[in-house]
Amino acid sequence: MTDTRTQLREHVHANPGRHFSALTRALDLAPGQVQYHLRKLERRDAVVAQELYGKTHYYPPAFDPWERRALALLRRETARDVLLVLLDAGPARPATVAEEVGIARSTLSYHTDRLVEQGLVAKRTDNGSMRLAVTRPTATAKLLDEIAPSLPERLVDRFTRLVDDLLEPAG
Amino acid sequence: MWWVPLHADPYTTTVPVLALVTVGTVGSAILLGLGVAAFVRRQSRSYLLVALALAALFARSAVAALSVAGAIDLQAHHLLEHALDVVLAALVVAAVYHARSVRPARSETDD
Repeated sequence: MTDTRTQLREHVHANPGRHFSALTRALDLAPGQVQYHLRKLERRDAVVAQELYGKTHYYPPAFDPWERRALALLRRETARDVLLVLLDAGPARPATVAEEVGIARSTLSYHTDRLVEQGLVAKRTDNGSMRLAVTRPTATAKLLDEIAPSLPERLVDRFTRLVDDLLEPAG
Repeated sequence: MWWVPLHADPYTTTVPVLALVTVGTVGSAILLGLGVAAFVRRQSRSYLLVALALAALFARSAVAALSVAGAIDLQAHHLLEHALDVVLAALVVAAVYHARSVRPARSETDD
């Protein structure tokens, strides 16, 4: 039992920002068991929980709230691609970013909305045109380096890219 | 039924049939999982229709699996499979039609 808790704590520390069901799957444990041990770990401040878009993500206590929200979004391949383009090219218009990443405008707008909501990207207007910019480039680059999306996360992301592409009228 | 040789009872499961049904069911279950996850993420009608179409695809595999298991007879099997084809096609057409009719109204990023 203590073994399970140690295992869970180590897994959260190795994979910061994983959500509840991903932890259950990765460790092959019953949801009730995971819930019980996570609650104990939370009480001892060994892990921190953060609710985001209907999912509870778990982190080592070292991350601040901005980093916690960032880590949850950086598990999405397309959000990563958008940030990489913006880090590389600097502030850019949405049309340019969509073209660079190779995604439909609806895909970009979905990811941009969340990146803006969580303070990773800001919308700036200069000379009458709106541009997207990374708010904390150094911190974002460091976090991008730290984590990678899992296979199911990548598949869901690519599936939405494909469907957006198929359903969006060309142009 | 004179055209069915006696040894080829439709319920006799041959290894290739069993393999195809198994692979088909696993594959369509993965697709359905992706479709549902994408719908949960996006919450749009187009994604709902795509998820439902993938559910119909999975139901097709389920009907095949139940037929192999002998729970569905040949006549019902044909009726169900072809009805599901109609449902699947209708859902995909609806998803495409709906996307075309709503997209222009919700371009909130620039130009």
